[in-house]
Amino acid sequence: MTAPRFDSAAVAAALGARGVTFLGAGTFGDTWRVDDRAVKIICAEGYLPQRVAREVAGLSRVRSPYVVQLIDTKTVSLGGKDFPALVFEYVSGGDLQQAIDNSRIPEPDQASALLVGLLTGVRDLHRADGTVHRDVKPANVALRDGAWNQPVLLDLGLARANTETTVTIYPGLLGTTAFMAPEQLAGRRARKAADLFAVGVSVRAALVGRHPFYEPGSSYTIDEAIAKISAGPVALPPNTPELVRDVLDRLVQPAEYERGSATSNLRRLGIAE
Amino acid sequence: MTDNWFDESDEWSDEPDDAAQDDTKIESDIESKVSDTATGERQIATLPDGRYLVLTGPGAGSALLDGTGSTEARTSIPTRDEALLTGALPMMLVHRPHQAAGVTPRLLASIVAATQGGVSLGVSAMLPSASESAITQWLSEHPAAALRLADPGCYLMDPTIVRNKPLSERTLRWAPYLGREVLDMRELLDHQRNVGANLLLSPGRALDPTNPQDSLDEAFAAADDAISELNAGERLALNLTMSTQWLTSTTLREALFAQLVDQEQFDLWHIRVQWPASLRAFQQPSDASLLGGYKRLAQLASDEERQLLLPQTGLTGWLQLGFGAAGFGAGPFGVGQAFKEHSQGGGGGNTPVPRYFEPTLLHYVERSVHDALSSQPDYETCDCPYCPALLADADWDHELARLHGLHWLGRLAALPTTSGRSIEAAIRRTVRTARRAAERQPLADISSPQHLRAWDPLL
Repeated sequence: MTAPRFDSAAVAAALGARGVTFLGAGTFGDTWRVDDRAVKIICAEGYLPQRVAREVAGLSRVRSPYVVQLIDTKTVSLGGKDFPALVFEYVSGGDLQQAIDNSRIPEPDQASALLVGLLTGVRDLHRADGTVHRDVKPANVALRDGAWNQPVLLDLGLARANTETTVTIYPGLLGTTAFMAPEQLAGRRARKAADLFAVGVSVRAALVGRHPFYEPGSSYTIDEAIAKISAGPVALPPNTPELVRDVLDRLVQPAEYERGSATSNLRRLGIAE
Repeated sequence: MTDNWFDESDEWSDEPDDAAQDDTKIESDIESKVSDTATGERQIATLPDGRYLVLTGPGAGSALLDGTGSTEARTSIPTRDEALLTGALPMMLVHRPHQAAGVTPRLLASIVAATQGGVSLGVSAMLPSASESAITQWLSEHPAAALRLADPGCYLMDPTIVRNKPLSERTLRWAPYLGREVLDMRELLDHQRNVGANLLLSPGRALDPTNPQDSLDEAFAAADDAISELNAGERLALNLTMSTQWLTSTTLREALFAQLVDQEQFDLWHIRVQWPASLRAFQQPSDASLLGGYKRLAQLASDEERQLLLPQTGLTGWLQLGFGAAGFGAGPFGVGQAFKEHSQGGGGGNTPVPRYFEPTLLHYVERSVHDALSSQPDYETCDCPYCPALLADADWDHELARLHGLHWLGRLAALPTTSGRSIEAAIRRTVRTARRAAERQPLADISSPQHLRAWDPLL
């Protein structure tokens, strides 16, 4: 795990808490657990205030059990500087990345429930004035109480537009570019279809225990990565339910429109409005 | 003699200023020739507002407050929202003709009567085509229509993208917004409201294939502006106009489709694609990539549960019902059946070729061919209200022939109801039957339904 940008004692003091636990570091900040809350302190150099505003605005519009609940926003003073902080519910049970790292492979019905939960979360986000997550990946999917059927989308809206020139598949599938849709890799705008692609890649990764397009430990140019995606994913386990297989195949299509919408994919899985 | 029944001289922009007077005369001529029942019995259907629509007999096409003395058909006219429900009946829009506009109310009633309400009907008028009062009157005269559209036709502002006649002073008088630098969305919507439209449209500027993403963004942003101006209970369709490249080029098609899927706030798509000027009258496009693009568009709409309306497409639009389109548009004249590039070399003034729509061939054949076909023992004579007079008279009545063809497009749209099959199966069967029938006949030149061969691989 990447080290926090500030030590825990300073963070606890700044938050007025008796103790804090470091949960992880993201592109723009660190997340700490404080009692039953998770506090994300936006403390990295170069963050854009409008991105924070976008996350706050997006999350404020969403009420979904599959999207982390934003409780409050505040300003935190650390190292003589003021930083914005977002206070969320703390979702216990670990995240999808940890499940993959621990070789927890979902059973077919659990995979179906995971997919439905993620698509529902994405649908609820997209319905909130067209909010797009832009950074769906296993590390940003909490499993409430460790349950496959209760995925919760975390860390909305802070992903940078892609300026990377390579896609590196680090051990444990860390890194944002590994879950980017081809249009994001190519530097084009990330739309709703990009979230659907990332859901497809994340669920496939959970099912097969590895990235569905890239070899572990490899590094690809953007063109090579896009070619890998065009070549198609590794096969799903043979016991994957047909409806789940159909939807997962759609979600990782290179052409955005072929992925459909979250709503239409939920319908394909038999989930009515 | 030229094949100009559908030629450029029939465009709405040629409508004379005294069109209303023409309507009165022609309507009365037609009225005296139509025979929708053998007995003259008046049949009625219930309208959403509690009144009755006269389907057959005296006053067919008009509304009555009291249905006493009439036979009530087992059908009712849907409301706008019922017509627009996902999975509802197929829709057919009838475009306002530039002349004889008074004949369409009866035509719509004849379709309801013949199909037992198996198709939801709409009427659509181009705002730049006539005065506000003429359009208001025409839209209000169709109680059989669940949908009333007043198309702003803003693609007329984009002559470098789609090929249209230059804007005339009269067009600008009827649609002054076309002359403005910047469109005022409220003005545009108010214009539609003022003439009685119940399904509003976004401007419909033409999408520029040389600047695809910016062009899409502008069109969708304008439609978003329109949504923000809606009043309670109003509905709006995303209105797009484009060249065929948008359906035939993979890059453009993917950009268009990605935007359509992404922008979920638009559940109704009103999409007009300009066909090449080289298509002859009554000729359906047979370009496989264009037809394939239409099919993918219709399938996309169906997959995503959006309602796709294809104005000015006639039989080609009807075919798309089988792939997932919700509705298509047609009219008595060429401009209603095909949105084609304007061609400088119109054949106006020439004598039109007498042609007749053969339902079993899905094609308009020359009259002489119809005469030969109808002399065959197994030929089934048409029972529409227009054919008794049309076929009895030695002089060909083009007006009746047009109405016969349009009536049949409505009946074809209602195939799921009248055949008991799914629309996909019903259309596939109808097209294949037509192709087999055509192969048995010595059809040539303009009487040959060449489109059927192009359609077959799509089915």
